Amino acid sequence: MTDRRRINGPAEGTTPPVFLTSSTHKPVIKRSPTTLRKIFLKTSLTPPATGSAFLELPTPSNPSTPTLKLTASVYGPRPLPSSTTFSPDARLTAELKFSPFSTPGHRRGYIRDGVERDLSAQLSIALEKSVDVGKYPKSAIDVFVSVLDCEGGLGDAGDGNDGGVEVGLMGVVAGAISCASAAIADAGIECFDLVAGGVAGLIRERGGVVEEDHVGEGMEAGEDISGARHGEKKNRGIALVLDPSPTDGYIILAAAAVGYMAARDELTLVWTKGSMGREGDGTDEVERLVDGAIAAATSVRLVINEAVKERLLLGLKEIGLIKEKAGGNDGDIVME
Amino acid sequence: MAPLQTSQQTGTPLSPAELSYLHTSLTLTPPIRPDSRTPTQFRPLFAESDILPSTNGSARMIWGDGGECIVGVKAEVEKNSISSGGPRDWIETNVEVSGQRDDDAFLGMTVAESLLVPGSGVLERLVLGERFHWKIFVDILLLTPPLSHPATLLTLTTYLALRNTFLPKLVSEAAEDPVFDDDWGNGLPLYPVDRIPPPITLLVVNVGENIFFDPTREELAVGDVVLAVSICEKKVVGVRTLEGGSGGVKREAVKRVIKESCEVAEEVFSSLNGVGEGD
Amino acid sequence: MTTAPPLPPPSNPLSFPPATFQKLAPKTFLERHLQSTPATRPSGRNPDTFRTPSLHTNSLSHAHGSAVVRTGDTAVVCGVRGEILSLATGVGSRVVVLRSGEDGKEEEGDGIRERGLVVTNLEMGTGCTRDYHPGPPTDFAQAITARLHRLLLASKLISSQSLRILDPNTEKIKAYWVLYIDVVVISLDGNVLDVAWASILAALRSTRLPQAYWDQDAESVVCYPEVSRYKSLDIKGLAFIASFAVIDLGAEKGGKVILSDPDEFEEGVCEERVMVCALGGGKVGWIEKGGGVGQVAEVVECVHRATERFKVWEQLFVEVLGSSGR
Repeated sequence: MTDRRRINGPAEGTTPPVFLTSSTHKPVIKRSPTTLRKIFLKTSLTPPATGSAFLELPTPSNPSTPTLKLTASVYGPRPLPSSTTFSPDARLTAELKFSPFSTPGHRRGYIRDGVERDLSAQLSIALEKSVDVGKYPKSAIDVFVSVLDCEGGLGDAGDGNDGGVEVGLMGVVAGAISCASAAIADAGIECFDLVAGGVAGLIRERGGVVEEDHVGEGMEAGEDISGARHGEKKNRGIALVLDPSPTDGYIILAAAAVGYMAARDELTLVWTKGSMGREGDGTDEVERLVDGAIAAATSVRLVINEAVKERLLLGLKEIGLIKEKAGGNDGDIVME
Repeated sequence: MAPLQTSQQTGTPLSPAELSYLHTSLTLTPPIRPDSRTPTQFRPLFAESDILPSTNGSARMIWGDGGECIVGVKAEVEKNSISSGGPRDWIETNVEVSGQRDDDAFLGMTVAESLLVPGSGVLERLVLGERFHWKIFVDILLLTPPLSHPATLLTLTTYLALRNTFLPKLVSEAAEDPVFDDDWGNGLPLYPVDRIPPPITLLVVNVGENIFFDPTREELAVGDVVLAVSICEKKVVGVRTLEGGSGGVKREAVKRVIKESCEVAEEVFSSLNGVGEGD
Repeated sequence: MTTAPPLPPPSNPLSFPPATFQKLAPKTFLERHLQSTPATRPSGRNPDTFRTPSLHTNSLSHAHGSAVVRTGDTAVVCGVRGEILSLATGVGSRVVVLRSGEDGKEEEGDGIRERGLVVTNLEMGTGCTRDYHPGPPTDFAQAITARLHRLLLASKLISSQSLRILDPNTEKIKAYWVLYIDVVVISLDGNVLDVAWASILAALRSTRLPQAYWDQDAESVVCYPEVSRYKSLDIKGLAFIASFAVIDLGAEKGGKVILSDPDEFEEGVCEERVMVCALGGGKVGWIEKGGGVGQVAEVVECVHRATERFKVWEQLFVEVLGSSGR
């Protein structure tokens, strides 16, 4: 089953390079648990699109550690293809694709895989609820997100993910939500509110406790976490972290990603992974995570606001320039 | 909030007026569901386990609205290798919906994600000595997709199948190639009774102040938010948002949905375990 | 359109804003622009002006080499990733046959071509422009990919020597590096070929592969993790593509006009195309022309412009890559 539309590699198949000793870079956690990474967000970088945005999550401490980079472009509202049935609302579709070179370990395939389809679906859910779809009957709004670079932690083989939750996927979804929402605003599509993506995780710090080297043992610890033996450890090791990164060097026990509309204080997407207790202080774990993710999203929202505002001011300036030109003749009107 | 509209995703044949009527009756206190169920009441279902003799575990479930699901669990011995990923690849789930070409990414991911949640202890039981492990294939076949969303039907059937999955007992030493006891009577359950059971996923819809379990397609169409909450022995192992509804939802509503799901899940667990005992 | 007065802009009673005019009669719109003195294109460029390129390299963390190239509103990202093709798993007889050919050292690139050691692909389904959707590549994308791939093999920029992985004891070739070159188009406003090519070249120049050797005991290829032992590819020389679109305004209105570096709109209007691959030292590596009948002088003019363009790219590469050493 070769892809006839693309140039394929050798038929024998190739393997990613295997290193002598796995590169043991153990970055020290330099951020405090509530500090978010600096986000770079810029709109209108794909001029052919109706609206577009580019988002980057740098890791300033070490330039060689992975960073998240993604672009979003929005087309629409444009007429639905004639083959589709009547729709009183705009139909929003979102497509998320990893570039072949975006992930550590194996290359990504060209054809959308299950993970990509799942993320696309979640992205479109998160965005659709923020767009005033009723305003655009019989139209389509298409959102495309390309992940150029990501931090790993996707649950892929050879990812170096030892037993924790794949928080990388959540980071991608949250970034995609923020970026796409800025792109939708850039396209001038009417929204109820901007959506910001936020991630929070419950972590057990690596290196502090003995038990995490072996997967099975890690499981065991998770299993009788309610047991008295582990009660003390639990209090010591588990902490809430906003905007966790898979490269930060801790084991993430559970994580939540949200799409959050800050001005309305409403959620458009909730996605959690990992087991969260509920008895006693247990219920708190889910709520703590969701609240943490919301807090992260609230901060991200400020960045989106700035990016959208920047673009808006630029647009106003352009209009202002036109007014200035015309102003020479219409000066009298102003004088009156 | 929640302007009423025909949701194209669920494709309900209801008119805006009918949807509005439904929305109003569901927001009443107490709410009135079209089929006069209580908010937490499930539709009647028929369930049986151990139906496929050539599998390690299997189950079948028929939903009241015609949805039918069969789950077969097969186990194979696989050599540990560095290249083929970690223990995460030891359980493979595959969802096939008849009449649908692509497998549903959402359904597959929901099941796989909640099964592989860290701390469930399953992966540990798949280890066979030093060099081998069990590879579990969970094949989920949705014979006739139900009229409502199939997530609940699917995970409940998977739960039953996994609960009834037995693996042959290992008799060889850890360093040797694995040799098994041929007496199935000595088989070991994949999910022993005293350990954490497999997870189930409940579909919950929130309409106004009310929360409904096992929603029908029409109820999904008027919901403010639809959540799929995966629960595993009193613990939430996953929450996902589904399509449907318009506008966002307050965080309090989300939290309440999750909280109530946990309570209802306990009842579901106990009744599902009843199925196993009845056989 | 023939009735329109030639010199003063038509003072038609029915007037449109430029954008509407452009949509209604794209060809006339472009012609009117080029008939003005001096001839100016809708984008404000002169017919022989290229868009100014910009280049960044090594901005991707999981690729062995990468480059972002932007000219005007066309922007592409190229990532190069090396994977290992082990000969141990291949059929024994085939290995021998090919090795003997390589030892002759007649054709450096042949190992690359025969084994498919360079895999070039162009992805346009990224929402880079409104006409391309995710899914299998369109005919256009496939055609561009094929041209890029062909050019890359024909230009023999990559030496197969740098892709060999040897057994340190016997000096025999045990495996090869396979370079997966993926170009992702972020934004498309015409002339993707020039930009994609430049990005590939820059990415290859910035590529640094881990040092790999055949481990006899493990019977597999192993790499040294130290970044200091990474080796750059041996890229020979430079080559740059310049594309042109030709429009015929008619004999009395100025004849044929050659547009350098056409944008999306101009590409849609003009059918006649010329592509020149210029090499260093004023040499030409490849010329393609099609879509119309033209004088030889036309092609000569294109070659002349392409060699000028080569200098611009060369300078940019020296600025960015000359000092960059990852």
